[in-house]
Amino acid sequence: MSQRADHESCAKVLEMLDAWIDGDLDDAEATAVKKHVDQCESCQAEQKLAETVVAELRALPEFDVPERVVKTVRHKTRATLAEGLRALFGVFVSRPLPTLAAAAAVALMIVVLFPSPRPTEPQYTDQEVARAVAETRLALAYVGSIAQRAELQVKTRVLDKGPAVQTVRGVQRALDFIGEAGIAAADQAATPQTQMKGS
Amino acid sequence: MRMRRQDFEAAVATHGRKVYTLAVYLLANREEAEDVAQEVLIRLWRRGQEVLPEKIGPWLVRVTRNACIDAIRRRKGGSQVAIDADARGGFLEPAPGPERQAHASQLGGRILRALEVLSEPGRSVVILREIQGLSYQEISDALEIPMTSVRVTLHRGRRRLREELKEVHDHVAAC
Repeated sequence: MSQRADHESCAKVLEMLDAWIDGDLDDAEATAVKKHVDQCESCQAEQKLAETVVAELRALPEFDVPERVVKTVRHKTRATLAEGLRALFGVFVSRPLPTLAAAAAVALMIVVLFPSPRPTEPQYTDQEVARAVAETRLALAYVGSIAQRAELQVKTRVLDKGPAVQTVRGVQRALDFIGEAGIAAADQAATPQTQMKGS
Repeated sequence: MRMRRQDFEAAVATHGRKVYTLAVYLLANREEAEDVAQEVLIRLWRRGQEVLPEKIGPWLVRVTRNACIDAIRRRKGGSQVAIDADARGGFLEPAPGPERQAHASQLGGRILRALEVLSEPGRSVVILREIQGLSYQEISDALEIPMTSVRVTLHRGRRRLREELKEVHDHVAAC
């Protein structure tokens, strides 16, 4: 074998040496590499070095996460949980008045939207009905402003905004819908009462 | 979406070591590795619910590697963090036996230095495969590269390491 042919076959073997050590070559390639290495001192030395480097790498230690890192992570994740709870519920918990107003408005809407099925004689004056309609409008407007404030607070407090903001927007849309329906129903309820009283 | 507390604790117990070890070897600096591990685990808490349970391992490897690359970029952009040979040696446990100990102190220390010569993804692949013992499939999933590329990258990386270490090895062998 010429020196040049030797050099070429050494270069080819060195290309495949790691795959051969890892058993990644097919039988024919593995046999060819082994045959060459058995006869070539230079490639034997390279094989020995390759195996030593792999053994040294595999002897390097792995490390447990230091306790202080675990403690910090636990502390920070508890903090984020508390922040999340405050952001979602704190707005209602810390403001009882708007909550009561909202509850009163919802109760009023239920009365307006689902009146008693038993027909009754009108018992209110025109002024009383007009005042009730105006108060209903005011209460519903108040519910709308609370929902807007809640959306703004959740936006600013919750870092992971995606699902939370979508939920608040959904609530906002639902309240808008209820508000419009309530006002329409209140207007509708007011009209025949006035006519009946007047007739 | 945040993880349930018990799932998070289980994931930290199972994968925490993997995260921190990868960060230590990629950054060659324990302090920075602690920061990265902390950042990655908090990210797991915040985003873990979006990851399938069986994909958490590969996801953590990917996120850790990216965080380390960012840390190295910051280091290069700002003030360079000097990593001396003593700090590197601190990663190595003393090997048993005087001969092996002497060898490890030279070759082992040089291996850590030589790892820094490798470019990405070679460095990550060598660490994940040879130090952390991940399979080709696991590395392929984590780094999102084909298995054949994992093999080729690993073998190139090991060849590059040999070139760096040849001199020390020959010297040790001659002694």
